[in-house]
Amino acid sequence: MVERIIVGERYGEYGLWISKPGVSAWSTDRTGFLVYNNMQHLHVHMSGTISSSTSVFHGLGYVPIVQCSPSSFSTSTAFRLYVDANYITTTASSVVVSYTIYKTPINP
Amino acid sequence: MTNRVVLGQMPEGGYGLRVSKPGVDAMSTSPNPDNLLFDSAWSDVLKVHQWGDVVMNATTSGGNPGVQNYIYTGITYPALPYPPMIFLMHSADGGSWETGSYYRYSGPLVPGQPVGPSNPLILTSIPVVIADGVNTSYANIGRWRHSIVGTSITIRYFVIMAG
Repeated sequence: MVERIIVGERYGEYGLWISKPGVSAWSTDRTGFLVYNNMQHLHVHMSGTISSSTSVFHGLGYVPIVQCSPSSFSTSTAFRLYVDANYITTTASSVVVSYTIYKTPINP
Repeated sequence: MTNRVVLGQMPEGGYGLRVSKPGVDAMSTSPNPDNLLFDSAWSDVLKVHQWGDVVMNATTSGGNPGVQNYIYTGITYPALPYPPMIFLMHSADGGSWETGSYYRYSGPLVPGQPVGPSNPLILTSIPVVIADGVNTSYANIGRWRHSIVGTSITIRYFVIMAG
C-alpha cells in the first residue's frame, strides 16, 4: 500500500499533501495529487441561476472566481455578469444565467 | 457534537481522510457524497495549475462580431498530461471583474465548416478559449470586438488541473 497522506514535512516543506488513489504522496508529479500544499483548490461556495437584471449576495468579502453559462438565450441578445466582493449582478433582463461561485479568490 | 473529520482508518475499511459538511457524521459507513467536503477516495479535485493576465486591445471598432474583429493570443503553462479546462474572467476598460459577457450571433459564419478563428463560434463568449483538444501546454485566448465589451480588456485565465 502506498503512502497517500502527508501532514507535516515533505522534502523540506511543511503542509498537507494527499495523492490520488494508487499514487505515492512522495511523488514529485503534481498531477498525481488531490490536495497539494500551497495550490489553490476550487471549492464551490454557491450556485444557482440569476436573471432579470438582479444581484445575488455571496458575501465572501473578496472577488471570487465565478463561472456562468446562459440559457433562454435568443439571437442578438447579450448579457454581462459582474462580480464584486459581495455580489454578482447581471445586466440582462431576458437571459437566465446559471452560475457557480467558487471560494477561490480571483488572485489565487 | 458530530464527528466531521476522519483521518486514518475509514469506517468501511481502508485508510484515508474524509471531511463532512456541518451536521453530517463523517463516521457513517456509507455517507452521501453530497454531504462530504472532501474524501481521499475521490479520483480528483479541481486545482488551479496556473493563472495570469492577458491584455487585448480591439483592432477594429464596433459593429457585430465578424472575422475581421476577432483577435487572439497564446498562453503557455507547464505541460499537463491532458488538454486542461481554462476558466476566464475579464475587466473591460479597467472596470469591474466580470464573467460571461455573451453575445449570441446567428452563425456560424460559414455553416458546415469547422469552428475556429476563421469561422467563429455560434454562441460567442467574450473572451473565449480556443480549445483544440490537443495542446497540453498551450492555448489560444480570443475575443471579439463588440459594443458590449470595452476597447481594452484584461483577461484573467485560470488553467485548471483535473484529470
